[in-house]
Amino acid sequence: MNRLRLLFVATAFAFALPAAALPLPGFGKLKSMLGHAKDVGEVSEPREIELGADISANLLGAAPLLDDAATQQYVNKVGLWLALQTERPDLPWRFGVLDSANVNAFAAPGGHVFITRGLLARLRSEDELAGVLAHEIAHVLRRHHLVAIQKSGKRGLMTDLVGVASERSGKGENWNKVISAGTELYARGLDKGDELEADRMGVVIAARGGYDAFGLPAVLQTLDAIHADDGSIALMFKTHPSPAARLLALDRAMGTQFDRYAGDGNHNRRFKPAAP
Amino acid sequence: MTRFALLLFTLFTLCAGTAVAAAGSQTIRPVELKSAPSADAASAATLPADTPVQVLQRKGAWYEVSSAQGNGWLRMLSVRGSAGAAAGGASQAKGKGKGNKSGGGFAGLRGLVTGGNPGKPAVATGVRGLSEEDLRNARPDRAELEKLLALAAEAGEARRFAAEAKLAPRQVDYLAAANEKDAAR
Repeated sequence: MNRLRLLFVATAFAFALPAAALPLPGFGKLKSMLGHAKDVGEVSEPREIELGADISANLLGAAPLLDDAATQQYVNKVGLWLALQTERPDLPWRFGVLDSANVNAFAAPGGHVFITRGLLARLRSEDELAGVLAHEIAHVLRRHHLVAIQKSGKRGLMTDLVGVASERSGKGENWNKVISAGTELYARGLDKGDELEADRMGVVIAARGGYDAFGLPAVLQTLDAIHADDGSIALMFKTHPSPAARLLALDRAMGTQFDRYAGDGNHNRRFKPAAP
Repeated sequence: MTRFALLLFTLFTLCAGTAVAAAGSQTIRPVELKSAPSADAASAATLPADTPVQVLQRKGAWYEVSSAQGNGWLRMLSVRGSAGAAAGGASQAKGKGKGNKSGGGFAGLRGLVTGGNPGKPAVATGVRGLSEEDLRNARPDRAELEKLLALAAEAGEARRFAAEAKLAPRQVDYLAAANEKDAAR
């Protein structure tokens, strides 16, 4: 881990220097070299979690947690069970129901996942809830938000994401810019490719958890039928590909091989439709 | 009975002054109407693309639907335009986007027959906090963050929770995109 930190520091200094003064490739090229989530983490896990927590604090500033401990605990258990089936089971996964009639769900780096009361109210089963949470979990696994922040960025963002010396340092003005960039993503949306990837991973993660793989498609069908003028879903429609496009992409990706992952639906008996 | 209900629903939607020619959902391609929710089941009929159907229920990848050619099962991903049976979604029949779509399926039918729209959500004025502007102007709430951390479950709890409902983990590989075009959509 220390060697990795040294690498980060070295990289950070390389970025901090003006590109023109050094025989380095342009910043854009450097960004694209480091931009893919599959690369060795440019950002340490503790920093990733810290970043996600601070972005989450912003989200919670916009809409607080629903004051219903039973529902919160239920969603956390479904969510964590799903996360345990993935390649990052040991992240401090935290799930929250936001007290908002908006229909939406969010993920923040390091294991933070949110679903609004408005979306929860439109779900009809634990399978469907699993589908939604699994999609958000995929965003975390692929570090989509981190990559997007890096892409949106300025060199300062990289320096603070990587961090210098101790954990607590580097949390200055640039850190706040990173948090703002992260929060802004919820208003702007991720790349459409990221959303489609999260759908493809989501149905798999749900199936791994023993759920009906078609829970997420069923939710997309529900969203597809909501009137475009409905203000509560306006932002979600703006920041995601259309439900129809997502359903088409899932159909192509899933084919018939997921028919066997229907599940027996026993678990759906404990799902209580939420109040909108 | 089903055809009559379909006719009634169509009449109501026409009376509502919308451009919807079809009720509920419609097929997006030619599809086999099966007698059971399985690819191996006998085909009751072949429905052409844009056939109006009413979704009755879902079992895994399959919807049970009623159509002018009778009831049967078809792959859920071959229809659009319905929130499915017993949905909480919008139930008004209004054209939207490219196709002549109406929402609500069976729930929509009930809503129109009784003259109300029980499934329609309240108009979203004063919706709390998560508009574009709210997000851009958001200020951190540390107290709520602490609550979030406190609500997190532990692995043991989650496993017991799954076991209670007999949710058994499965080995499933991640999917690749079917083709490059998907990423660009």
